Amino acid sequence: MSTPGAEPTTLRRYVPVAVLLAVLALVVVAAVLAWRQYDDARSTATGDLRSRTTLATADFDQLFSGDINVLNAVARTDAVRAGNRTAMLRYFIRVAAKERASLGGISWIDAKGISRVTSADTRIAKPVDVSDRDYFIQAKRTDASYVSAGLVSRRTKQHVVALAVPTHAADGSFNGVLVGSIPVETNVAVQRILRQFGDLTVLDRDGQSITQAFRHPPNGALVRRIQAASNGTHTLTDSSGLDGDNGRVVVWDYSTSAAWSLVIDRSRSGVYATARRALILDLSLVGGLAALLIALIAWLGSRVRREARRQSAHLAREHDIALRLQRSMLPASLPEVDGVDLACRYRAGVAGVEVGGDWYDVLARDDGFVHMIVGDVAGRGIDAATLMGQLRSAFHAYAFDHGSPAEVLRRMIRLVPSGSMATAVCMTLDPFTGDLRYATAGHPPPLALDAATRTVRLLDVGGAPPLGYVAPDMLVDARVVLPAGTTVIAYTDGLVERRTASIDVGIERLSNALVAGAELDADALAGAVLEQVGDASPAEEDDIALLVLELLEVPACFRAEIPADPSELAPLRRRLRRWLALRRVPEVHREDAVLAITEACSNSIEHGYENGNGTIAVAVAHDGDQLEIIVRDRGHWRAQGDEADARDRGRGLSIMRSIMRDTAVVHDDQGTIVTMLQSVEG
Amino acid sequence: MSEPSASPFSLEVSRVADDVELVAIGGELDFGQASELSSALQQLRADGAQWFVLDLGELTFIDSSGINVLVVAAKATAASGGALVVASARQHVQRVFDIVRLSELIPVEAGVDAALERVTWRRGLTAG
Repeated sequence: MSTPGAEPTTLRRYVPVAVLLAVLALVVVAAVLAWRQYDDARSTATGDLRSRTTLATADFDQLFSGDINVLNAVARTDAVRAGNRTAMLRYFIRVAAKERASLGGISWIDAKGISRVTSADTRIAKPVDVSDRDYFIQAKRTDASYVSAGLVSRRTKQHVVALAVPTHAADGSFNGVLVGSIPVETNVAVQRILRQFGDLTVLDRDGQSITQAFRHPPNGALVRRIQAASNGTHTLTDSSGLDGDNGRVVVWDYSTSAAWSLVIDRSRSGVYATARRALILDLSLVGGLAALLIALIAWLGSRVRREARRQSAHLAREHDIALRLQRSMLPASLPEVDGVDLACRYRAGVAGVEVGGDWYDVLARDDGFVHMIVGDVAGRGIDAATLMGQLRSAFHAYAFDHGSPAEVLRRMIRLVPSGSMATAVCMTLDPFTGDLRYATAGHPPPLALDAATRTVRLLDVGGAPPLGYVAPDMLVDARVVLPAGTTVIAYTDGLVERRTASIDVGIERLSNALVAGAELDADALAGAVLEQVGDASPAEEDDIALLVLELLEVPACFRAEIPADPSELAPLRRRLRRWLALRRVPEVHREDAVLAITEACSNSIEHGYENGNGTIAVAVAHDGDQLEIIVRDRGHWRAQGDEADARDRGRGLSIMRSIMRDTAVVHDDQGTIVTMLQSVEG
Repeated sequence: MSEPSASPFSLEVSRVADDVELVAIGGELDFGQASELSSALQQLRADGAQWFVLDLGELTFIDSSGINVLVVAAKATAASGGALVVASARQHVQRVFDIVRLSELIPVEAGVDAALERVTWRRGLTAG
């Protein structure tokens, strides 16, 4: 009756590892996402720069094409066609002042390259030769508008950009170049655009920085790269800057109308600051979250471990309690009984983590009877141990009151709660007569070994179902008279039951072990049986309890303490007769002894106890040729009585005196002792 | 405790004549059974019986309590003009009778027939 249990520790160990891996995977995914977001943010940042260059380009295109349109319109006026310098001057001044604020001044250069008219001077200006100027040469050659690189005006000494458009006479022949100059450093429109887009660097067609006093940026290679690039927006995300510094983001676009490259040159750290901040925020968020999760897991893990430790400590404690409870309920020592050699063994199951419900007990009653019980409570742990304790208490209580083993078992039925089950075999032995009665409830049958014949018999009469299932009237006493030298063994199923074999095989093995150990005393036999039968399959996990009793030679002294009740006399005589017979006392003497003892007991019952409650102790010692009989009560014989009473009692006494060699009656404070001697030589 | 007795006490009454009772006593007669026998005999006397033969053939044990019942019953019967005769005592019972010299108090016969004869003869004397 065992229920083995296993701890799922392996599973418990792998759970935190799995959760940790899951968290790590989450962290990786989150980091990748954060990185992609960072990438997007950087793209957005550079995209922003690209938009700015594009927008600035559009603004400058619009500005310059507007100015060129104005110049073209001026070029088509009659004054210009006719080469009328006075008219041109008047017109130029008006246009420069009112029409186009961006144009710092308008000049006209004749076909030979001599600047003749300029809005910067209200008179007809002193002629200045500009035939070597790039813009004159280009406008004349291509007969199309041209925007110069930044240059210093020969008239005003200002930094300007020159817009040149060719002019034609009425017949369509080339007659000069109209030039609009834009003083970029002071021009309101240009400066407004530059202010609007912030840190724009404007490179003219010669690679001069318009915005930095026409200086050539130190990084000539980058300037050349920018000028060689096709139209449209270009981006370098990790380049050296115009000043030669490394780690720059360079974005540019090209304004066709202005022939300018508009460059934004910023440090990467500046451009990507926001993206990086977002990335750092994301990563620290992910990291923090992961750390939090890991800490949580660690905490939970430690809690689980602590709980498991607590649990296992609790289980260990419970096991310990149950074990101590159970051990405490097994008798520390067996009673000494004349004529009987008793031995017991208890062995906990090998794999038994929990305590089993096997138990045994022996009780020597005052009347000389010996009660023995071997039982097995189904289940394990504290509940089983508790039920065991209750059954043991019941055994003690009822075995004192009832001579019938079946009756003792019947009293136990109500203690077994519904759903529980207990088996037991209860035996009652009269060691003076060899009279053994037994009752079995669901328990394997005891075996009796006759030492003389070396035969084993099963005590299997009247077996009933286990306690918890059996009806009271199904429990019956079986009876067997054991000759001296008989050994009886009662045991629990752990001794004979194996999963692999029928119980009959185990009983057969036990029977063989008994025959083999017939020469051994009870203790040695119990040890041998446990070793040979119980240990036959060491892997078995069920508990084993066994009880061995050997009926020795008939005891030389009969002892019984019986209630002072007339109905006790006949049974006492029966036991005495059998004991005397086993002691080989001649029959004639047997009946005299029985009669004398009856007389003494009757006196105690009739006269010793007025209230009827009390006991009478009878002891008969046989030492070969003599019986010494002592009958003792703890009552008070009435000193006086009527005549008939005295005579009747006298008759009892006279019987004792007649049939005994010596009779003495002593009354004292304790009660009365009748001592009789009888010669019993055969 | 209640041991089942190998030879329980038994009492069997058969009326031989109107006032002659044959009472067969078996088993063991001790202090426990004495009052039962005593009241049974008393009842028979109350019902008019004067003459008793006690057949002890199946009686295996008797002690002083049993003897006392027999003596008391015999005296009471004699006092009312009747008689009580015991018969067929076994060896052990007879040994007790001898010890207490019961034959000096009660007629003791070896057999039931002799006892009945004796009772019938005494009854005839009384009637005559």
